[in-house]
Amino acid sequence: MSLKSIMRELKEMKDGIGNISRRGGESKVWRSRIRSHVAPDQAPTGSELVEQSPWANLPPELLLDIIQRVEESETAWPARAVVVFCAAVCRSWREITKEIVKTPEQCGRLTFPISLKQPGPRESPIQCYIKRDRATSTYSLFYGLVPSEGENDKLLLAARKVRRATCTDFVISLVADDFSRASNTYVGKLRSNFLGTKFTIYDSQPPCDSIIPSTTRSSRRFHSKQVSPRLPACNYSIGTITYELNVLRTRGPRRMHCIVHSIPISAIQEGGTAPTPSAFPQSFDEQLSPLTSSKGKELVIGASSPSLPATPVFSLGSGEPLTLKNKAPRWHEQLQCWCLNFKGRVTVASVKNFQLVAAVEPSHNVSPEEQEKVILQFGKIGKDIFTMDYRYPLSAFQAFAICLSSFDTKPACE
Amino acid sequence: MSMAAVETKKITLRTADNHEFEVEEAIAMEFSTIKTFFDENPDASEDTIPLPNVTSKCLSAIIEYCKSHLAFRARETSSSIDEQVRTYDEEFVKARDNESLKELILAANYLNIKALLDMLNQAVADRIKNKSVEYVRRFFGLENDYTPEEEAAIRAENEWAFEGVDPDDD
Repeated sequence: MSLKSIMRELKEMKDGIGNISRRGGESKVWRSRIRSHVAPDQAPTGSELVEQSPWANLPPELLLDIIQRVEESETAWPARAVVVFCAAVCRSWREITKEIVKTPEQCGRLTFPISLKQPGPRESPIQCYIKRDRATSTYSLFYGLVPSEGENDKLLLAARKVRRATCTDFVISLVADDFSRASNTYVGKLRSNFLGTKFTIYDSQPPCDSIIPSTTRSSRRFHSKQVSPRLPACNYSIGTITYELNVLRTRGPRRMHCIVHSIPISAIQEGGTAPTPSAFPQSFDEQLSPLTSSKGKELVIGASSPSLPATPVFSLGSGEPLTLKNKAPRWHEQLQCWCLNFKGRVTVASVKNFQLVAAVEPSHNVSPEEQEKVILQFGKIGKDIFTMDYRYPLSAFQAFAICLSSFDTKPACE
Repeated sequence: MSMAAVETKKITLRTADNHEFEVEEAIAMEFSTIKTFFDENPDASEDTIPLPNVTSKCLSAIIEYCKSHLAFRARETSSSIDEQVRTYDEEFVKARDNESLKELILAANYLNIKALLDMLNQAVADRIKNKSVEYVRRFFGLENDYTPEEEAAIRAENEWAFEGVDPDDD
């Protein structure tokens, strides 16, 4: 964007500001102003200079109070966008805003894009829905129980299916109109094998803040306290999903098995935590804090396989990863079909529907309540509309990727 | 020692622009800063209190506010009183432009009048919620201090946040 065009835009905005008093009718103009408003400020002219020192040195506790009020008042989307723009004003505002806003695990709300890579709440799931557009092979994840009347639900993530010679990729992005891997909005992808029986989830960043990736071919151990200021743009394999035919090889439901390398089994043990990144790696508010998970275990980054040198596998040294499996449906004699209790969130029978729970052994020491919890639930409610409910320790991104795999399985496992 | 016949005691306040205000004690006690001062210096009640951080314009508005709220509180609580309080507060804020709002906040903070400060802060929060980042920067006199890389990252963040707000894309 040239300086000239930035200046012109600022002037247009200034001229327009006086006329804009309500958000409702002018949302389009407001939005286009928001989009370009991160451009650098023009230096204020004499007549616009605000009162000198007293206001410029606004006590931080007052600033905190004001920003807090903004955050508390807009908890639902799309209005919650205002919290994101508070974080865009300047550095001190960003610091304060980031301090105030809690993670989805703590407050059940999604605020920043990074919220999509943080674990969901423990007690009850975050409820979303996915819309499929067959014409463009695009899948969009929205926040909300079901599509709302006005069609202005918050878009969380979008994926585009790209068929390649030997596999299929679902490229996942923050926005629906840009699936370029080089762009700031790229967050990861899902890759399937040729048969559509095995999928790998790739994250554009490692799940924790303080990781140095290996140079791929050999595996190395890194202590969690090391910090890398800039990570190379590559994909980190964080999980795999496999589909198997039902043993009976009839029209019974297939079996799903999902290994999430980036989440240790300890996450669902007593007192456990799951990795919670605080920022996208290319942004500057990355914190220099040690890992939030794995209880001091070392992390290993190694090559996933000799044939894919550029994709480090993220895995936990000695800790076991969390494994999920689909809950086995019961055969309903009267209805003559397989049934799962989706608690009203799934209404159309489909082979794609599933509920994932943790797959644990007695040695894992996971409480029965945790074992019962449906960590991810996915199912059809209408033509091209599916609900997705996820909770701790999965993040929205991981949940979405797992659900996408359900769209691509081939007749081999149906 | 004055043998005044008046019931209410008056406190004298002097503003930054050298105006003196005589206020009833009850109102002066709404200013926690002053209340604390008197609690610690009970003999000072005859003196004029200097308020170097408050202008006369501000102080008179604040005095009006406190007077009105004291009067509200003296009446019995009811939903209609609550309604009146709300209306009063709205009118109090609506008339002010951004500059006077800021002055009032700083004064209310200095004088430590919690209810007024909360109300004003909420008013500011409501005002900036519907505006752009540019507006907020101007309002608070802030500079954009991001580097170009940081701006690029923030731009992506904002793009995501406002995605879908208006389905009619340009």
